[in-house]
Formats: sequence, structure tokens, C-alpha cells
Amino acid sequence: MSFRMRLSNAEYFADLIKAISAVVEEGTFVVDKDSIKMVSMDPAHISLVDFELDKSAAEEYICSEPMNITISITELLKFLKRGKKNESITILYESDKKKLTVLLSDVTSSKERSFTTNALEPIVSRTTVPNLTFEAVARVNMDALADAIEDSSLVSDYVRFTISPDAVTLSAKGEVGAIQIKLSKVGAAVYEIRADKEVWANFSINYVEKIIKAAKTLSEELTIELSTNKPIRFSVPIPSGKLGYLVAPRIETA
Amino acid sequence: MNLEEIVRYATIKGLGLLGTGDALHPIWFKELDESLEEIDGTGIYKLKSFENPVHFIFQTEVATVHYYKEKARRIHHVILIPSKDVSVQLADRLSTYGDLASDGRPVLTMTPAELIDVVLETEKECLIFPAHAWTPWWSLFGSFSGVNSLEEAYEDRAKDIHALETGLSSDPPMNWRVSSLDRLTLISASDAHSPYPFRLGREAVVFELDRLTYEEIIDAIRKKDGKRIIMTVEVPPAYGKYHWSGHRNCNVGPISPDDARSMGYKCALCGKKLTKGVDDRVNELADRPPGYVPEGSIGFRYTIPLQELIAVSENVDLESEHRLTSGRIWKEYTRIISTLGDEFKIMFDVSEEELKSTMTPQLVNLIMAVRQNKIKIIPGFDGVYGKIIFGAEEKVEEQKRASKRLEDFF
Repeated sequence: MSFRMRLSNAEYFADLIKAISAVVEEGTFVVDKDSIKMVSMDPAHISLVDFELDKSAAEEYICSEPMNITISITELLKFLKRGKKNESITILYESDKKKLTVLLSDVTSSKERSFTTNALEPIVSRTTVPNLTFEAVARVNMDALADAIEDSSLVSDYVRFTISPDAVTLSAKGEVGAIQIKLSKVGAAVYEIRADKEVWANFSINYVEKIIKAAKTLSEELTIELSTNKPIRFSVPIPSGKLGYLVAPRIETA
Repeated sequence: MNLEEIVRYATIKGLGLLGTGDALHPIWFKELDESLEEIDGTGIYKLKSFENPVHFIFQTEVATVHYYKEKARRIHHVILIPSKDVSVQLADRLSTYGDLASDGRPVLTMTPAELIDVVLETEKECLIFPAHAWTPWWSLFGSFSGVNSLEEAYEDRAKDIHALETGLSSDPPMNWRVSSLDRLTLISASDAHSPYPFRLGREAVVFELDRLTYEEIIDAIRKKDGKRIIMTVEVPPAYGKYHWSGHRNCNVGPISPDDARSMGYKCALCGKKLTKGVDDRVNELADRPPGYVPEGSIGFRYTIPLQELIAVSENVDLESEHRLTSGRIWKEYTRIISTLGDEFKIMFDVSEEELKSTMTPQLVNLIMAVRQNKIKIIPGFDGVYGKIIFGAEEKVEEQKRASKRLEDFF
């Protein structure tokens, strides 16, 4: 059994894998004739990544039969970071040898580089995307949100996301002080808000920051879905695919 | 804290022999020098000021910092010293490696092997062994800056290590799982930073000697002599501050070794590194299953500070740091001690009937549960002591709820 996929832009594929690496260091790609998918949680089960790339995104896509490829994302990313914009990338996987090869080709200079790594033992438990409903949705500018998170990290390890009918607000409180960043619906940083009431929840900046930083290169906008004291969902629009994240909230028990 | 105070509380506790602690520290040494006198050249010292059953040997704990496999290794060592004079000589030799007057333990810039060289060159009757060998920081096997074997720390001088101090968060059965430790005498001590009976003598070694001399004690330890070392006294390891993993700042913990491993040793709230538990480190280095008892091992008995048990029996807030120093607890403690004798006698020897005649049924139940190793404890983690459960089992669930996972919402 083998799998072969060629994409025209090696750097873009590296960005996609980097976006996955914000949540997991290793994971299983589920590959079939239509797409390559990964749904995986970080070891602490606080964040989840839901990734899918349709075969239409690829110049060449051959999958002899459905298969799972468990791989160290960290190691794969090291190879991918060597890729350049003008290089195409081919991912080859031979399931009998359990080896994954990354082929970087620069047609203009007839240069081809290949990196091979061993696949890992398959992960037994499979993560599925839960069916969650949200009370508020906001579509915002990615850079504005990244800035707001960075601001929040100055005073605390946690950040509160609040979506009200007229604004998206991030706030953080710590021993050294408090910070509030309000992105108003009428401003340039907010493209859309759908909310009947104010909803909020607190999240670890560490998790959220890693996700936003990694996803920033893929899109200038981001959709946030939120309910009070429930997980938050970030959706990043990507061509011929989907990239979503869930992060569990911090609940004050005292 | 002064020596008379220590002696008073040690008597209440039932201790007969103490290490002086900090014998290389100039100010503390001055007090030792002025207050203690040696008994007939035995290397055993007693207070000059009044007759009492508590004796001392000169002892200190030092820290070394050295690099191994490109990582700084920070390890604490206990040194037993045969006399006051040797203590002076040792201070002179070691003062070139670090500031002996610093607060806490002196940090010496030398390898553990060099430490053994210097100490045994000064006096071959000194005894060195790793202190609280499993705790995450500053210990031989500690997860943050320790190593995986005696040899990785003490190199060719590992043969001069005859004992290992197990720390509060591990007990002999945990250490018995590591076969390379079989030749060592497991020592239990409290590393007490205050003289009160809930800190002093939490753990101890019980000797039965023909004559109380430094030489006899050291010889018994070096030979792992089960006839002279009767047993060790241990707190249940879950009571220790580092038994399981967790992250104190986020109040995440205690987390069992299996769960912590599945979490990648990352805090469920902030994503930072968890402080890995002693139980986890033992599992990593163990080459035997739980429950294995090696030949020649020395027995032990569990205890828990009586003041702690009184606080639990009276439903004093478990979270309060000052619960054990409250007047109410102390009053009840001294009442029981004055009626039944020292704390070790109460914990180990006094009959259940006698206990019942002196204290509440709740406290009797707790003491009996400790004796039978049936006491339930929420394990300690990342510097938080284990919490004794007494009609408060829901606390375990409360702890678990502190860390939210995504599955909690699915």
C-alpha cells in the first residue's frame, strides 16, 4: 500500500504542518482516496486540532487504499522547514516499509532533495471531533487577535475571551496589573459578530498563543466560536481544506 | 531555634539521637560548640545545660553542582562526622568550594566524587550518602537535575556510598524495586527545618546497639546490619510533598504516574512542565515489579505526625498552613503526651484500649489506620503535602476537577 501527494508550494505545506504542531508533537494522518485528515489532542487534552486537506489541493494525489500514517510532527517539520516557495513537495508513504519520504523539487534548477523518516507505532485511541454548539461567533483579523493575546500575556498566564453583540474583548488580570483589549464590531479588526448576549470563558495563554502564532501565516482572518465556560473553537480558512482548533477553558472552582 | 528547644521537642517525640544539622555553618557551629559536650570520646554529644535522653552526632547536608552530559546536576548529600574537631577540619577544607555561611545548605562547586575525596581525606570515618534521593530538585535521582545511577553522580567513588536517604515521598518498598540499591542501607530522616514534633522525627532509624557510639552507628550502616538497625520509621510516601506529579501554581494535581505520562508531563491549565513525582521516577528506574522484597532488606513501620492526626480528627481546615501550630491542636497534643508518653510510643506501642481511654474515637481510628497502613491520603505534589482523608473522600474528586480536559465538555 502506498500514498503519494504532490503540492506545488513546499512552504505552504510546511505552514500547514506547523499549524498542526501547535497542538501535537506526534499524530496520525488518516488518508483515503479523497483527503488527508488529522484530529488529535495535545497530551494534556486541553487543545485539539482538526485538519483536513482535500485531494483537490494537490497536483497529484494517489492513495491505493485507506491507511493511517503515525508520524512525529516535530521531526517532519524539521524537513519541511527546509522547503522553499519555488519548490514543489511530494509526500510518499510506503506502509510495508513504514517509511515516509519528503521530496523537495525545484524544477527551475532541476534540483531534488529527499528526506526519509520512519513512521511511528500507530496510536491506538482515535480522537473524533465532538459535536459542540456555540452561543456566539465572531470573525476577526488574525493579526489584531495575535496582538491582543501578546498584550494579555504581559500580566497573566490566562486570558478571558468575551464576545458581546458589539465587540470581541480579551482581558487578563495578574499580580502586576490588568489589561483589556476591545475589538469593536465597527472597527477594522472585526469582520462579523453573531451573538444575542455576552458570553465569556478563560483560557491558558500558552495554548491559545501557540495556536494563533502557528496559524497566522495561513490566513488573515479567523473565526472564533464561544459559549460561557465552554471550549473555544478557532477556525482558520484554508483553500481546499479545513483547519480548526478547540481549547478547553480554565474553570474557577473556588 | 536552639538546641534546648530541639531537645525538648525530641524528648516529646521519642527520639534518642539527632544529627546536629548544619555542622559546617559558622554561627550554628558556635552554638554547638558552646552547648554540647562529648560523652567519653564516643563521638556522641549531649547538652551541657541539663540531663536528658537526647544525644547528637555532628552532621551536615551539603549541595554539589556539577555537569554531566551537558546538564547541570544539583545533588544534596548528608555527611555524618565523627567529632566536633573533624567538623572544624572539614569546614576548613570545604570552605574553598563554597560559602559555608550561606543560608540553607552550602552549595559547593565540586563533583560528588570530589566531595567524597575531600571528606574522606579529611577523616575516613565520615559517612556520606545522598539526601532525599528522589525529590525533583537537588537530589540524586531527582527529575529536574538528578541522574539515573549512583555511578553517574559519584563516579569511581560510588563504592564509598553505603547508604541512601529515601526522603518523605518514597518508602522502602519503592526503593526495593531498584536492584542497584540493594547493597545500600536505606536511611530515613526528616530534614526538619523547625523543631516542632510535626516536623522533627517524621522519619527515623531505629538502632539497637550494645553501646551508643559514633563508630557503632557508622559500622551498622556500612554493613547494613539488620541486627543493629532494627527498622526505619516512615511516613506513608503519599504524605510526602513530591509523591505524585502536579503544578502547584495552577493547583493542578496530584496526578498519578499513568495520567501524568499521558499528559506528556504538561500542566493541564497553563501547559508548562509538571513537577514529576517521586513515584514516576521510581517507575522509570525500577527493574522490579511493585511488591518485590529483596533479601536482607530492613523492615519499617509507618507513622504520621500525631498533631496532623489530631487536626484531621477535629476537622481543622486541611488547607490551612497554620493548622498544626494552632493552640487548640497543641493543647490536645500535650494532654495526650502527658497521659500516655512520647509520640512514637503512642503511635507504635500503646494498646487500642489505652488509646480509647485517652482520646476521641476518631483519633483512635486514625492511629489504628496508620498502624495498619489503611490511612487514605490524597498524594502530595509539587511541594504540597499529602492530605489525610477522614470522612472527606470528596476532596479527591475536587482535586481532579481542578484540571479541565476537553473530554469534560464532550
